[in-house]
Order: sequence, then C-alpha cells, then structure tokens
Amino acid sequence: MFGPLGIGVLYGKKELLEKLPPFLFGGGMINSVSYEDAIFLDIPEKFEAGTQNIAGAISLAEAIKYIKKIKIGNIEKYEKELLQYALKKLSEIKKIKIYNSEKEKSISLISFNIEDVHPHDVAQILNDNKICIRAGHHCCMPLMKKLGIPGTCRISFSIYNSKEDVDKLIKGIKKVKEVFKK
Amino acid sequence: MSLEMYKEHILDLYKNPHNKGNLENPTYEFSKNNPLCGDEIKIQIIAKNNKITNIKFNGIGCAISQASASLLTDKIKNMKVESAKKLTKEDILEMIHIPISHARLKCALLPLEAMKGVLENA
Repeated sequence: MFGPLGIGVLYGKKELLEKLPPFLFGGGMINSVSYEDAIFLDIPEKFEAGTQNIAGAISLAEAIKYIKKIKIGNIEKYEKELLQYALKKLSEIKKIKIYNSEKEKSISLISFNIEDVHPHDVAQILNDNKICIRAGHHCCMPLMKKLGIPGTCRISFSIYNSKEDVDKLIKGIKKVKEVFKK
Repeated sequence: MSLEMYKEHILDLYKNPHNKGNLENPTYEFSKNNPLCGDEIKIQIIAKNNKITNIKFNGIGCAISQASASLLTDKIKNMKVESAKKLTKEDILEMIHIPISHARLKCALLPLEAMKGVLENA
C-alpha cells in the first residue's frame, strides 16, 4: 500500500486485545509501577513500549490518505482491467501454464510457468527487458511439491502499471521462449 | 546483460545434461538444496581404489545449476577422490565460463557443494 518499510498495523477485537499481556516492556506503556505490581496503560499504548517508529507512522498515514484519495474501488477496478488484459495476452502464447483458479482470476496477481524453463531463468531474462517479477517457491514449498514444480513465476499489478507494461512482459516472455527453444 | 549468461553451451547442457540420472549401487551419495530457490540436487558416485569410476546427478534446477552439474560431473569422472576434493569455486567458474551475477552464484555452486558432501565420506 505504498507505505514505508518497518511498520504495520495490528488489527484485533478490542476485548481480546485488552486481555493480552504486553509483549515488550519499556517507556510510554505504564500507568504506575511499584516493587509489588505494575499497571499498564490501556490499548494501544500497552503494546507500544519505547520510542515509536515516528517516521514510519507518519509515512504510513500519508500512504493511507493517498489510497483514500484515489479510492480503493478505483484501484481494484483498474488492476482488474490489467489482470484481464494480461490473462488474455498470456493465453495466446503456447506452452504457458497459468496456476490461478477461476476464483483467483479476480485478484491482480498471476502465477505461471513456461514449459521446460525454470522460473528463475524466466525472471533473469525478463529482467533484461526491465520487467521485475517474483520467481521461486514464494515461501510455499509444500504447495510447489504438491504441484510437482520447483516454483512459479509471479506477476502482480498496481496502479502504476499500464497495458504497455503487459505488452513488454509478453515481449519478454517471447524472448525467453526464443532463448530456450529446443 | 544477463543474456550473456545464457550462452549456447549452457543452454545445450540444460536441454541435454551429462551424467543425469541414478546409479543402482552408489558407493556414496549426498543431496544438497539451495534454500533461496528450493532447488535440490543429488550426486551419487561409485568409488573404487580411491578413484571415482562413475557419477550421476539428479534434481530439478535452473539452467545455470544444471549446466554446472553436467560440467562438474564430467570433470570428476575418473578423477582421484583426493583431487576431486580439491576443486574450488574458481574451478567451477572457469568451467561454466560465463559472467555470473552475484544472485546466481549460488546456482552455479550448488553442485560443487553437493559433491563436497559426497566426498566427505569417501
């Protein structure tokens, strides 16, 4: 969500978070401390011991404002358009296997492989065409084993991508096939 | 550009690997995986009188690791165990003879690491 690294949001039910003990102790999270006892502040301060990631928090808030300005529905609509365009273009190329199920064809992400080419070799050559994709087991080795493959190539879209990017991808994939042709 | 990595001799070994398969009665064998990409390679050898008389590798990998495995197994077939133990990263880089990026060095060296594992017991 265009935010900075090193910050995230913990989302949970208020009554459950109130029951949770602090995971870290430090400044800014206590109400009072004695030799016998300690009373912590209410949530969220209870979980925010020590100096906070101030730059991260301000940047994350700006990122959220940015998304709200564009509107998440518009982002979804745009990414879906790119996804449909890419799926159509990819299906026109022979020897490409797409792993998305029908349901997964509504999220802006495509997992695929080119027959007889290792995903890391695909990524390496696409890199030459200035297309960065992710390749490998995607922290999901059991699934790769079940599918009987070493990994997949994965492309994902955001609002800064365009149909021209998809065309570049297709050109890059054709290049991979040319390099690895039998 | 990485296309220099995909030279004819590398692609040829990827499509037609040397010494790929399984030995029926290996004297020693060892498997090694690359945790970064999940690729795994198994090397089996038959050693007689301190000499490697036969060698096979098996596993799935990218063009670089597969070509490196072919070249390495070609090299150490009929080699003395002691000589094979002395092979280094530099020997592999000389064998594969392509400019290799830092990210792909692990791929090229995976077969060597598996081979070291086999020979540790030999």
